[in-house]
Amino acid sequence: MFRILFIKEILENFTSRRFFIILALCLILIPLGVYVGTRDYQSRLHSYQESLRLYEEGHKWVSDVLYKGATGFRPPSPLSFLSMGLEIVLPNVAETRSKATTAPVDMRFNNNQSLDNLYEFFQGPLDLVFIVSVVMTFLAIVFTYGSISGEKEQGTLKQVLCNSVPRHQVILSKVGANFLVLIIPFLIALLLSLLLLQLKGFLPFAPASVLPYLALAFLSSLLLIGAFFNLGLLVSSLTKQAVSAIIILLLCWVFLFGIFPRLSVILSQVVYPVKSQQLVALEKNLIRVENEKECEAEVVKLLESSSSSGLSEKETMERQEAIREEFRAKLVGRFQKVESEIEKKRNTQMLIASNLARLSPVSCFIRPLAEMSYTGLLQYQTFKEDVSRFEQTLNKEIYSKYKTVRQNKGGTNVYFDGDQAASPPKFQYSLISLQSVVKDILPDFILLTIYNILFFAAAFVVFLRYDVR
Amino acid sequence: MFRFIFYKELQENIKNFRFIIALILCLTIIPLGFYVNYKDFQAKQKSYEESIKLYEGSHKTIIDTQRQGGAAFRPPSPLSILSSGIEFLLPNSIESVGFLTEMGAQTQFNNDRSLDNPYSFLYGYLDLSFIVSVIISVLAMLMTYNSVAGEKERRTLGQILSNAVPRNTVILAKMSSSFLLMAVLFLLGILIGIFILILQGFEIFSPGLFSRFFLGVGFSLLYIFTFLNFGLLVSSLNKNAISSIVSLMFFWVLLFMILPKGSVILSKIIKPVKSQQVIDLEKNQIRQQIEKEEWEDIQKLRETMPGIKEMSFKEFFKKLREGDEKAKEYAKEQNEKREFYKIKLEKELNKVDSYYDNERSLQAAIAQNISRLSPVSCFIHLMAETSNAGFLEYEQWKKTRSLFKQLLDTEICSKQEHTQFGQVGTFGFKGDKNAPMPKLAYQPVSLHRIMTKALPDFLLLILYGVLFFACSYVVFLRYDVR
Repeated sequence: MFRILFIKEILENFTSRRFFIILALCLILIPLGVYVGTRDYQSRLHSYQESLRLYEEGHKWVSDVLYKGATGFRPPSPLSFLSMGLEIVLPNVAETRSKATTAPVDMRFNNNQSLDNLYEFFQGPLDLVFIVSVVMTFLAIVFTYGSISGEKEQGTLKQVLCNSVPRHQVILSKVGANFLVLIIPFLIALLLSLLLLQLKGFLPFAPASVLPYLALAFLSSLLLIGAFFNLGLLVSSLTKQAVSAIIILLLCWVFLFGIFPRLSVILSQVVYPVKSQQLVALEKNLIRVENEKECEAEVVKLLESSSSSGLSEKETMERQEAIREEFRAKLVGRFQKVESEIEKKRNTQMLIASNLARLSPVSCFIRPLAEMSYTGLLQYQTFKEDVSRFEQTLNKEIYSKYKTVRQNKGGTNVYFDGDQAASPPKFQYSLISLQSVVKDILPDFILLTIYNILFFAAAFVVFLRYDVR
Repeated sequence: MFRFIFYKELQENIKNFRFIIALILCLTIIPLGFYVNYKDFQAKQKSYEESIKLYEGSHKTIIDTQRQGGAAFRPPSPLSILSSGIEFLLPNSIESVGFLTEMGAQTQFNNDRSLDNPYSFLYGYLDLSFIVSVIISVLAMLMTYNSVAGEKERRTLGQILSNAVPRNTVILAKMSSSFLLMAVLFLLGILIGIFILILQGFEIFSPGLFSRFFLGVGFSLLYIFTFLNFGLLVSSLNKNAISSIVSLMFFWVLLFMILPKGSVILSKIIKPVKSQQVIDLEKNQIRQQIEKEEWEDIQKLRETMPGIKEMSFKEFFKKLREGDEKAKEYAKEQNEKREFYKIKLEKELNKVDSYYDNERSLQAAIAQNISRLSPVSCFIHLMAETSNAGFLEYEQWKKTRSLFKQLLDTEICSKQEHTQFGQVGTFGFKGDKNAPMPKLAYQPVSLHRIMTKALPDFLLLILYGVLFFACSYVVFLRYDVR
């Protein structure tokens, strides 16, 4: 019986106009999105490579870094066609002030890539996240609104149930057949896009390293489409008319996609406000100025007392260096304190936002996809750690050797105690590991599965309890 | 007759559960959006004011700025409640780069505001522009999908038209009643929103905000009008309510969500442009090249000038202090050369800037014009520009950047004295180093400029509204009752 019902549903769907619309939409949008996303990536990669080349040409020696400043560049993500995520808004460079300074050097993040085509951001990218979270969920709704309520309205459900057909078989065949018909065009379009990239020679990555991410992205997409599909089924079981089902679903879609995720961010800002990055940078600058003042006062005191205490010039120099070292360490400590405090607060705020947002299946899809595509916050954290390592290397190899010595007679000498013609250290960028990504996105995966089960179970129960009279 | 049908339509809509949904959504989402966006603005404003305070505390005099470098900050827009546009991508400060030398200041844009809460970018903003273009659009769809198709399905339209009722009266009454209802609901939401804003301290009646805020509300009403007519057209084209709403949903996703994104893709394919990062580095190379040329030219002058080439640097500076004619002439010629290279550098950099600006503007114009095929793009453009979060604001900020450079050049760089002799140079400063550093006043984009820029979008939105209505009118007039 299940087979007959299943085939009936499949045939009904395959021959309907909706199927062709879905097929056409998927076959146009997904390959187009993937193709354009990859082209965009290539243009950003070109910019990155060009910037790096020009930077390296201009920074051959330590002296170049000392006078022009050092920069760490963040390469674009090859998987941004899956999700552009925060790729555009997150910093693409970390730079020191281009001016010789004493250690510890403080690198500042900056973003100068986003000014390329500002118009793009009025509309947002056409990445897989958009296609799945807007178009596919929308299609899932269109596919299911009438599956039960439509049959109720036409009276065909009564006729079916008049026969000796177990109800669970009816609903299971509906779910199976409808979902299959919805997913097949999506799958075909995805495969076609990858094939297109391969043929065009655009596949910008080693397949082995990204296959797990592609598989995860596909699985998440299925779970999100499934969640909306089951929600559609639930609403369709609850209503008696197809029109009411689609109206309720449309409102649910607006709420889950449009309102809830946005509200969660705003609520987190209201509930837990945090100082802005701009303010923190200025506070750090103030701390540096104060620290320098205190240090200079100590040095002046030392120089004034050196003649009366009978210290030799060499001893005075050594003591002066010791004072400067002490203040340098103090500054590092002060900076770390400010940063760790703000980091902690920011993380709490973002945790509140992401947890609240998880009440909508759409958010459980958008954030993980960004993490999988190296365009999320995890990759940003890794970039920050890389920058912090680079800072330490710069401090050790360059800036700690840049000395300032105040003379007894007045005036200050600055000199570099090392080889200015040596090669400067290079910034090393690292990618987040698959394990960390999986660990981070696991709650979202579990939640999406729960939403699927919950919506389906509710639809199942409602359908079983349906009173035919 | 118009009155009767108008009241009938109005009552039908009000009695329907859609009205309750629309009422609840309008009365909660609009004020909520206003509340949270204004809170967000207040946080940004606080950060901006504190940044200014901290900066001014450490940059009191000219010498402070010369030593630490200068900065100018962009205030956040209070009208981000209407549209956040591309505000998160616009630079929030301008900073000088490197030493402020006699060669002129080098400035760059900074943007670290986007780091404050990246999730807001990931999930989007709940501003009025989004509320109207997505939520109110859906409500407008619900109001109109069955206004004609539903009556066709129930066969009530045939009955109405069998009486002596002019068809134009029927369609006009349908359109005006649904628009009136939506407009009232929307304006109620706006009124509550304004009340909440006033309680929060938003100075809505201040001259700069009042006109822009109500322009934004006016544009929203125009968009609602356009969208209702679109719904009416689709409803007139369909024979039953269900196909009407499904078609409306499809058109909405295609025309209103996918087409604007497609326009950007097309513009990139038609007109590719190099990225800002590469342009900045190219400019840096030009700067280095010209500085090198200048250095070589000055060295050549010293090595070839009779009476100077034989001098040691100690002798030269001694003679210069004594007022020796030759030394003075050398210093004068050196300054002339410096001036020449300074102008050359500015010219070259301006050339690069204006070339890429043109290229980028062309690309953006292509994207913008294609996207104008969708009314939602026209609406988004209008709202972003009105809220000072669009292209005009970026252009204004680019002007501010050159004004800031001018300020640094006049107050600091032009007063730097630099005389080079071989490898040895002396630096000095003409004027009072401890004089207070003049401030740069931020000039917001004028309403007149916004209106000029927004005019095509405004006219197009009206055109779409009228066009959709005219089409639905014609389709309705041609409807065959049989």
